[in-house]
Amino acid sequence: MTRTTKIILSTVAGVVVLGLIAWFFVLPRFQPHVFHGRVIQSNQTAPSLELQSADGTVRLSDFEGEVVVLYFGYTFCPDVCPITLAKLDRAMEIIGDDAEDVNVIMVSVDPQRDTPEMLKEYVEHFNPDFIGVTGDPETIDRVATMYGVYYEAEEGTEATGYLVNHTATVMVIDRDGYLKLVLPFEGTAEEVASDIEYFLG
Amino acid sequence: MTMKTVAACAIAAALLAGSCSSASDEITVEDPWGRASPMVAASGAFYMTINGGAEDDRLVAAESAACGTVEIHETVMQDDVMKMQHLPDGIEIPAGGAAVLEPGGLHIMCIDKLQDFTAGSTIAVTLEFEKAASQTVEAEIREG
Repeated sequence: MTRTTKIILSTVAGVVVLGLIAWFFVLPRFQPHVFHGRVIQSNQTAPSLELQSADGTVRLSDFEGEVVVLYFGYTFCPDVCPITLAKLDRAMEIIGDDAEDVNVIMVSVDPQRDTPEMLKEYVEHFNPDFIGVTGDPETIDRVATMYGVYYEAEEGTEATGYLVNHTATVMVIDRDGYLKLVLPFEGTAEEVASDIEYFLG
Repeated sequence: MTMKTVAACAIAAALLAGSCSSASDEITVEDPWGRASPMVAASGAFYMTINGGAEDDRLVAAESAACGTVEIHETVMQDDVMKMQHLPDGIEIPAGGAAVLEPGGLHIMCIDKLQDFTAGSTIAVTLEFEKAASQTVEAEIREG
């Protein structure tokens, strides 16, 4: 191989290596974040809520400056609610230390059966930092309506009593208290984590 | 015998032999598991894959000493709204096919849990079929 050929080859190799580095490490930083749910572009202040947990009254304003993740579910739910809470717990694990600034709150759509104590034990099974809240039926109704969450008791069998059909989305409220993202039930813990991380800034 | 007859017999024999040695004649259950949950959650869910046997069958009921009542349910999503439907006729287990019970879909619902579902333990669940004999499986309890 002549000297010229060697120079040309090493230059090409160098360019290829630099190109690969740029592709995998530099360009991604300039891509816009891809969300995995419905983004609310305008700054809509998240509806206030004031509900009861086993540790006292919980208000959205308690978490000013931090991210709030809201989910509407109930403790008698065997399949969907555990899936979502387990996924949120895994998302917190993926996020790591910054998860300190994320507050996951489950609002009960079954205020007749779910007491604050039951909710606390239920959500803490998935993650000790999760918060479970409830209120009287009228308050729950108001909060759910403001968040666009549909829920309805449906007669089950004698054994189950009623079951509650409900919107199973997860809502993300950013540090400024704006409701920014509605995540669907489907979706992996990794996707949820990456979206929450975006709002952690 | 003509060549044609020999060939016909050979094919018939091969087909018969093939059908006899294909999929298991009995229903088998793969990977039965349940989600860990505390006593405060009054219900629990079991999931598994039920492989069909030689003939079409149905899972019509289930029982467990860990549950006051056991029902078969299906989670159905309609535009972000979750509904759970009780399936009183159970689930079809097609011959040679499979019924998959997994999170977000078909599941065996444990109502009125009589014990904690602790991760790492196993809970016996007896599956009753329309035609086949019932089977008891050990469902492994895992963190969701």
